[in-house]
Amino acid sequence: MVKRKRAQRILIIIFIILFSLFFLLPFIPLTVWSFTKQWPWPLLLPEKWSIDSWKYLLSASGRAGEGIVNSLIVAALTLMGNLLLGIPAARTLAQYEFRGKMIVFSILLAPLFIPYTVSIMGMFDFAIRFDFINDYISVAIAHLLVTLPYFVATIWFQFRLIGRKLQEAAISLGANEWKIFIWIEWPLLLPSILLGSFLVIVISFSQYLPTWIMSGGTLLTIPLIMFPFASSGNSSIVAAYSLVFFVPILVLMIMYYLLLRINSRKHFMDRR
Amino acid sequence: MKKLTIIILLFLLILSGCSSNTNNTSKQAGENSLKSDWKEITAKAKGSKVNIFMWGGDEGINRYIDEWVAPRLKEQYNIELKRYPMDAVEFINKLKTEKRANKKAGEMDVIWVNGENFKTAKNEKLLLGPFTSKLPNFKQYVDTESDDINYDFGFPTEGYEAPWGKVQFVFAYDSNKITNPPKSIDELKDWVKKNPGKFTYPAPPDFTGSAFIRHVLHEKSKDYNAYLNKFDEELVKGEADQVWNFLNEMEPFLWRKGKSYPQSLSQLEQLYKNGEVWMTMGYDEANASNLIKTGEYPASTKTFVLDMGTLSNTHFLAIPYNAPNPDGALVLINFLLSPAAQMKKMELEYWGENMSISVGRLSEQDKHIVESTDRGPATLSQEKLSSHRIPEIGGEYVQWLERGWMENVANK
Repeated sequence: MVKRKRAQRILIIIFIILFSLFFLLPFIPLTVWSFTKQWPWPLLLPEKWSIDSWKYLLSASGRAGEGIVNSLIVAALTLMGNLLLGIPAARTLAQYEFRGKMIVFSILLAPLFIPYTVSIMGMFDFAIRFDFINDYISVAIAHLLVTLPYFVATIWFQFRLIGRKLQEAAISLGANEWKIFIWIEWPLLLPSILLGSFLVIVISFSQYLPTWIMSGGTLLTIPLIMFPFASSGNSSIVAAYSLVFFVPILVLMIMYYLLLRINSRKHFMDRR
Repeated sequence: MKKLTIIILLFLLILSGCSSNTNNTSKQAGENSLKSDWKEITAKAKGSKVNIFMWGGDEGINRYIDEWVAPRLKEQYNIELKRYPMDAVEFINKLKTEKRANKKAGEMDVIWVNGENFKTAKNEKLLLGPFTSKLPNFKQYVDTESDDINYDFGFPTEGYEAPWGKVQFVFAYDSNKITNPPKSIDELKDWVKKNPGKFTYPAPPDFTGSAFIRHVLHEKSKDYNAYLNKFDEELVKGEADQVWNFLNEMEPFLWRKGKSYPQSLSQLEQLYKNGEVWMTMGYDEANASNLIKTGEYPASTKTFVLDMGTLSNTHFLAIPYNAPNPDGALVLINFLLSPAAQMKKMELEYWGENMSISVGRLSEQDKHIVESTDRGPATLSQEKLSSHRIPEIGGEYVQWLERGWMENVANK
């Protein structure tokens, strides 16, 4: 038995190592590329190294700081919109039966299935008509359209898992809807809200077209700053920007796990 | 639930409160500034903000604008300059959409255009109007009579755009491998036959490959100048066969026996960097020097032009019809045409590109600076370049030749 357990553990460790390599490997060429201008195919490592790309990135022209700040502001606004619209929508869809529910649900999830460009084309006219709205907000609205399906789907699933039993018990004890949400549903939902928020932020970060269309190319988020270099084949600069792009995502991921842990510990204590 | 409703209402309130100060007077402002004199224009531009929209794929060019131009514009005219990276095709499309929606106040003050994009913009009335005669530096330093200022790929500019710089087509080669580079298209063919597999060109419609086949047309044609006039299909039909014959004769001796061509200039450059081919080319006379500096090309790289000349073109700055700050745009363009800005642009540190103003009109002191500017080890001298310059032909001919190449050379 002991032997078998050890073998199992070794297998798990090997699996974890392979799994993390799968995620880490792409970062190695990115890092190498960001430190060289030329890396022809047969060579294992470049012959000449340079820090020019990083120097450019950190110079006034590079605008890495501006890009990150803009990306963060838009992502935060998008997340706010998702929380305000997504949670009530998911709740209604999970808990109530009404006519045409499936239609509403499929319309909400439509952006996932309809080709991306179709929904974006419609934004062109919208963008010009609502030109008076602040760029951050109009871009966030576009991102909201793109991210909402992911968020609603995540939350909806959790609402289904929670069911209606606890809420019915609370109603019989005289609690109103708002109290039910705050004291029963919100704590149980938290893990899925965290996951949904993480998805929303990461998806919002990587948007190029919606940002471009809604701001007319003037709100410089990281993808907008990076794109001209990608289209002119400047691998070194693109690699450097990509690495910068991962910094906030990494921070978010760490935050996600910390919050999740705090949340589950709190529950554990409560139960004791 | 009531609270939630209040929060949503608040959110909507913020949303609608964020309406910015849209002024519908932008178009009028533009017409006004075209009527005012230079003193009024600079006075009105003071303390304003100018947005320049330009291709953003080169660090050197971006740094020239952000690190050299912007601080000086702020210091001398108190104008804040902001650069937005965008491809020309994209901002022309943006302008088209804005025009269709009748948007009077846009975002772009200055755009960087030439060729087909300028033609579209001017034909569809996306530009403010003729403005070059307003600019003191244009009147003083630009050779207003020359064809490469008055025509942009065969299309008359009529003052709707101001020349920012000039580039010339050159061939680059490794002087360790080639001692006597060819002097004409025919000599090039002989060289290719003697050195099979060491030459190729990007497949048109790639910009560079397309320019390469125009050099063949230039040397094979009886009267190249006829191509500068209006499009005449009979003319090009009659002479194109010689071009296709020439290219087909050369094809078996190209890289990979001509069975495949590089799809872009960057692929050709990659072949040259790896030493697979010994020659490359490009529409930028200082490119080789730039790439030697960054260590991408071997230091033994040199460039050459053909005895009968190589193509050159001019690129321009224009003002959109709905520019929010036309006065600032005029001041910026005038500044970019100043001898100081043009000479700085020529230095390899930032860009390394040729001036659009003419050397002959500079002061003795500036002339001296231009002559002593180090444009890099592989860049040819100013006299050599300017005495071997041929103009670009109209866009219809260019497209006709690109299609013809596909039919007669690639798919033969």
